[in-house]
Order: sequence, then C-alpha cells, then structure tokens
Amino acid sequence: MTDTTAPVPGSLGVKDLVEYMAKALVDIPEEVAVNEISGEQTSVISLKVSKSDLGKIIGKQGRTARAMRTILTAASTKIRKRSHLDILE
Amino acid sequence: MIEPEAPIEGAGHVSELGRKALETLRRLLELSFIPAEVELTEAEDHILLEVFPKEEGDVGLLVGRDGETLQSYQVVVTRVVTRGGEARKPINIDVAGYGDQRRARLEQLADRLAETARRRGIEIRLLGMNPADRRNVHMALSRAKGVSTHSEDEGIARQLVISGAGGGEQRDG
Repeated sequence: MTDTTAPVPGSLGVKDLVEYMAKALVDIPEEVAVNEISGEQTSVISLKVSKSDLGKIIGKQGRTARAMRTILTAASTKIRKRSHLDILE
Repeated sequence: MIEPEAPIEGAGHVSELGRKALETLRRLLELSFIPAEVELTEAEDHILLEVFPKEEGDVGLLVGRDGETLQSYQVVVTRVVTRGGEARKPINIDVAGYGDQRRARLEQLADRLAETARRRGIEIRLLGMNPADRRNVHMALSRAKGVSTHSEDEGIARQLVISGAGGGEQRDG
C-alpha cells in the first residue's frame, strides 16, 4: 500500500485486540508479533506466532481463527473501520 | 444476616476457570470498544457469562448475524481458559435477553415444523444447529402430539430429526 498513514497516537485501533487474543491463546506469547498497516478505510493486521502455536491460533477446522476474525469485524464496526486479519505461516 | 461482599448468583464458590473466563471476556469487550458489565453464574455443570452492554446499540453488534459474534466470543474465551488443560466445563455467553428471544423464536419455528411433519407424516432434518438450540427444540416439542424428536450422527453432521411418526392420527390443538 502506498497511501499508508501511520496510526495517529492514541487513535482507536484493533491491533491490541488481536495481540491480546493471540497471546492468550498460544504457549509462547513472546513469539507473537502483530503488525498493523492502516489504509484510509481498511486496516490490515498481520499476525505471526511460533510455528508450534499455529494450530492453537487456527483451531480445529479453522474455528478459532474464524472466531477471531468475527470478533475483529465487530470491534472494527464499532470504530467505523474495516479490517482484515492475515495469519502468517 | 451478613451481606456478602460480592454475591455470585447461584453458586457457592467461583472456580479458577470461572474467574479466568470472566476476566478474559471483560478484557475482550474492552478491547472491542464495547463497554459492558459482565456477570458470572457458575453452576455444577456449566459457566454462564451474561453481558449487559451499556450502549443499547451494542446488543445487535455483540450478537451478530444468527448469534455468530456471540458464539465467536464464546469460542475464544473457551480456548483461552482451557489452554492449560484444566477440567472442562462448558462456558456459555449470553447478551441480556438475547437467549430468551432466540429460544422463543426457535420454539415458534419448531412448532411450525412439527405441524408440517405431523400433517404430512414425514421426517424433517435440521442440520448445523448448536447444542443449546437443539436442546431447546427437543424441549419445546417434548409434549407435542403426533411428533417425536431425536438427534443423529456426531460432530459437524449432527442433526435433529422431527418425525411425524403419528402422521395418521389427526388431533386438534
């Protein structure tokens, strides 16, 4: 994205939500890395966890990842934004 | 009698699991920008977390389409608190009044389907329901005349069957 704007300090975002969920779900929270790229309307959040923790983030049949994305959508709606969660393998 | 400081409805004590579930949900809601009170009720066989949003418009947001958002909070809270492999106890999350509304709608739907099954003497199979909804349909139709219900198969294929077994006998009411 070329028109990336840095998030305004103190502005509302969903990065903390993703980071909290990921760290609470995994065995190795120190290896959780969350990055947010904010466009004008859409935020892309990328999440990286330890290889051994990927299953915990994704869950059976992708259930946990789907639940995280649904929660993310609710939170984004609340602050009138759109966001997309990328889980990096 | 001495007033207890922090009364917990219907429970003698709160387990570590319950306390952790409550804390996790509160934090999740805070980070989702949804200000709300959360109440914990702990029973022998399940934990109930009831959410009371402070902004009325947040009820629909929290519930989501067909209860999907609520279900998602439930999945994440459950995964977080059972991660350490503690004794498992179902954790249910409800938003003030939503559970009752959903139950009422389900009962109406169950009645309509039962009527069709009975009139035509057929079986109606309902797939993709969650366990709580299935239980409510079974209960709603437990005393209905001319139909019976049961569940079949396991896991994702589990289905509730409404059989118009007594299809021949016509009864009023």
